[in-house]
Amino acid sequence: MIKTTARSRATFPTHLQNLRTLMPKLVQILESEREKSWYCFAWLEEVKTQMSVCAITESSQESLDRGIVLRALIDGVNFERATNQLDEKSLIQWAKEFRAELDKKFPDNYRYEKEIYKPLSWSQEIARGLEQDFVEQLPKNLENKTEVHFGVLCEENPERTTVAKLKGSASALRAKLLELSRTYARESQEPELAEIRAMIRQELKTHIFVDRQKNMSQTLPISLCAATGISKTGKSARGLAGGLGGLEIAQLSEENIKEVTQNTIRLSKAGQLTPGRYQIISGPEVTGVIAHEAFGHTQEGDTWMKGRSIAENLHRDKRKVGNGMASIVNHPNMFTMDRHFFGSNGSYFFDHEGELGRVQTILDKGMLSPPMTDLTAARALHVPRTANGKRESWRRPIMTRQTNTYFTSGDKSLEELIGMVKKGFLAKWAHGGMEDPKGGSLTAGAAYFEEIIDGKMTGKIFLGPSGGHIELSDPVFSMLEKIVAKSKTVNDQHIPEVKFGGCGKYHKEGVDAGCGGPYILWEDINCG
Amino acid sequence: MQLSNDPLLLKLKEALANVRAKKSDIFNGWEVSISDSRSMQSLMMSDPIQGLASYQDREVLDRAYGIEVFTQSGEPKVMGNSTCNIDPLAPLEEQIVKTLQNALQVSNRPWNLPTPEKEAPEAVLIADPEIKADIKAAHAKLLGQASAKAKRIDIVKLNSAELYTNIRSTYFETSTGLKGQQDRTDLYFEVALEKLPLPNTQEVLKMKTAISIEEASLPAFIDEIVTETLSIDQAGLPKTQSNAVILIDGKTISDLLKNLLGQFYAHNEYNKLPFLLPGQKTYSGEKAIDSDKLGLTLDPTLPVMAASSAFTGEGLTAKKGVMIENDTVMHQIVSNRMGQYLGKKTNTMAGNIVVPPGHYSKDELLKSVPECLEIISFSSLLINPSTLTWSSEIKLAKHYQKGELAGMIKGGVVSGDIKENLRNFKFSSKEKKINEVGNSFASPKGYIGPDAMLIKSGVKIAGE
Repeated sequence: MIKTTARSRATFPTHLQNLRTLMPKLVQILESEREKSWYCFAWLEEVKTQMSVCAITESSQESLDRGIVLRALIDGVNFERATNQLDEKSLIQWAKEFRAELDKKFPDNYRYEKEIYKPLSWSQEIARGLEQDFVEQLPKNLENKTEVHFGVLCEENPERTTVAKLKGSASALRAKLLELSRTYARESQEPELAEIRAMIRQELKTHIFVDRQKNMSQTLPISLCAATGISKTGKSARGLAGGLGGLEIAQLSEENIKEVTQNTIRLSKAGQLTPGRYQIISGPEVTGVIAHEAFGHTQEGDTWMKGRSIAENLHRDKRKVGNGMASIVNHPNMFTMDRHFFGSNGSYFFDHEGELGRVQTILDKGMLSPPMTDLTAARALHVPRTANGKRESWRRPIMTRQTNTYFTSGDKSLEELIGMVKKGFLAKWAHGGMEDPKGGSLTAGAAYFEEIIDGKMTGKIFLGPSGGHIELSDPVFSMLEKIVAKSKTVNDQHIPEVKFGGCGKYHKEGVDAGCGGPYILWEDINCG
Repeated sequence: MQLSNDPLLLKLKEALANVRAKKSDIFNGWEVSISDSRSMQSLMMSDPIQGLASYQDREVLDRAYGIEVFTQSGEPKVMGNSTCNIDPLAPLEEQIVKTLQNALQVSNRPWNLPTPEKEAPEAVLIADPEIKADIKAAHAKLLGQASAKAKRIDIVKLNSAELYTNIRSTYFETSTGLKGQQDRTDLYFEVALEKLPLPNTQEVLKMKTAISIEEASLPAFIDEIVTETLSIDQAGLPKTQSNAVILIDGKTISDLLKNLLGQFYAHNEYNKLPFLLPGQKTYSGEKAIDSDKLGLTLDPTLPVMAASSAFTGEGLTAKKGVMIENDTVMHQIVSNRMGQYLGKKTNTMAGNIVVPPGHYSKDELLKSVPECLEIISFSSLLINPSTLTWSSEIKLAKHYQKGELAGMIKGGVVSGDIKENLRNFKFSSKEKKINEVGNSFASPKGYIGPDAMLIKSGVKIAGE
């Protein structure tokens, strides 16, 4: 991994202490004298966003969004009330009204049918096993009322980030990229780019979770640097870097810089792919989309619970759905990856229902495991709970969502993989994707292809058959049978590169989700 | 609810005035906004007794305050702007000063902020009075309608459903005197069904977004989806074709046209992105003689439509405008700011997409060609607003030969180029109304136009 300078953990923001102190009272208002049949928690989310965009038209933004959710799980149904009216008096009144509503709905003589949920205590969590990142942050003499905080290691303190600082970095980046692209255009005698946009953004997320067993918080700084080159014909290419950490991680790599400054220009002269089946090497971005769409969404517990995933029957019947190299991991508490000392934006210590992050293999050499779950899905399916209960924001419902999803790494170098291709393409840069959990098919987009003939890159690039991006689409099972080889990683824990990303469930509910993996050589994929 | 009297908003305006007085050399102007929202949310699964049983039941109250400040500074003068969501629990003036500092980091060409027009904008009805009057009762009514219908479904399996009923009031005011309030309602319903007997590997997931309970017509919508689910049969891959003929539905037509319209905005010209100017054609290459011609109007005044609004994003009166006539661009959309930047006359055309229908029924269109794929659903239709190219895996399609159903299609990739598609197409004669409320993935879209489009050029398919 890359050597780092001194880092310290992001601390709990003191301005939230009053609200934190109030939260146990709110939980008590909700569940007092009903603990034997109800389970309640309070969840507070604060997201501070700072952003600077440097382009022909510049902009800047600073926003703060903060809201609280009260949850009562009663007889299998989750009742939630959420608000951003956060003064103490309003909150107490609001909690009391919610309780009165629930009391009316569930009078003392109500006959409960579903088993009551009992949250784990800290000692039970420790007995179950926690990784070092947790253990080293736990105070001694832990009790259910102990305020526990988890922070991410950062070089640059995210609390000191200002828009002015972001502007300085974005402006310098854009100037550098414009200069490099002009030089490339001049040397290659191609038209200059119409525009380069540079954006640097930091989100500082703080979550507080309080139930009868835990009072814990986490601070998650998510830093991102993105640049897009736009040609005079409207072709564009982007470079993007970032993840969970301070601004020190929002730095474009040389490869990203080349993508923006050179490949945008090259795309104007790209050929158009003839639709068909080709040998493909997917880069970490495209590999990640395949993992995410293949047995990521299909392994979401609420999708199983609703009978909407093909995976439940396949798991029950112990059917193999991929070859020995088809292994996919769900990794919420991922704080290093490949050669980096930070995790992706999909990482956290606990999910939005207070479940602590633990790594889970969701597809092991072609065999499916039980699914990722939120609390409701785990109880409905009688499978272990995992830290995958997430919501877009305090305004939206909980669903089972992915955190970081990646294919495990292999034993080859990229050069060796390229050497194994007779006639095919390298698909390095992703362009969306979509799941079909019931149908077991997937589609993953690539911005363009780079041609490989007889084990060598030819230097030619191709867009889709109609001049846009390229879709890679196949039934999941046949696709996962066609993994030929995978590249290796230098990471101590064998975690490959996981890219900064986001995910919608079908067409809505956007959340942070990292996805990635090694370079993978596929025997053939339908491309169009 | 009159948001202009909100106590915190009044304090915020006072704080803005105070800071502006202290920083008059740089503080050029401001806009303040408040939104008050309430949302009822139900996530459900099928239940033999209730029809639909909720497993997550939510109520959300959201009151948010925002400001945008504008600065002018330096020599030569540059203009900056920055937005900020106000934290009601933190000192207001501190937040304004910080936003001002952020705006000073932005260096754009100066422009004059818009001022009130002679005629005040007319109110547009964009809220269902029934939802506005009692959102809880409205939500319960919708749940009742969906549950009653679900209870009677026994020919297909209903897996899950979601219902969101929302009401949102917004108010804005600017330092130049523009102001206005709008109340909006909307609802979102989705349902996932599959054909019996089980198990199978195809499901139909459909969403309905609407402004009013009447427009949503949930029982009829569920009936429609049941019929579609029953029509699913064994599906195969499509043939690879370099010039395919496809039939798309009203939603896809509106998606393609919304992206085409993206190039009508003057900010594309200023920001050096691809743009279209009056007089230019909306197709590329040679127009087919028997093709329909495209006409398109933007109309912000249509009642109970998602893209209706009395105001533009700058707070000016939104106006109706003919954007395309006989395949020809009639207007560029020029905002106050872009008008000053580009030396063009400002217009404030905005609103719902209205497209005149064609002359043939959907069946007649299908019979008019030897072979056609009717795309029932795309897995994920991605349209590039710059290149106007599009592509998606086919989630489900029907293969027709001379108008007769020859089989179902699933898988393969279909792609196209909007300008090439508009070279040879035909619209259906039946009209469809679509309301899509904006979310984190897309801006609002209202559409009244043909419910089907036969595209005979510029489509490629990768399949067998």
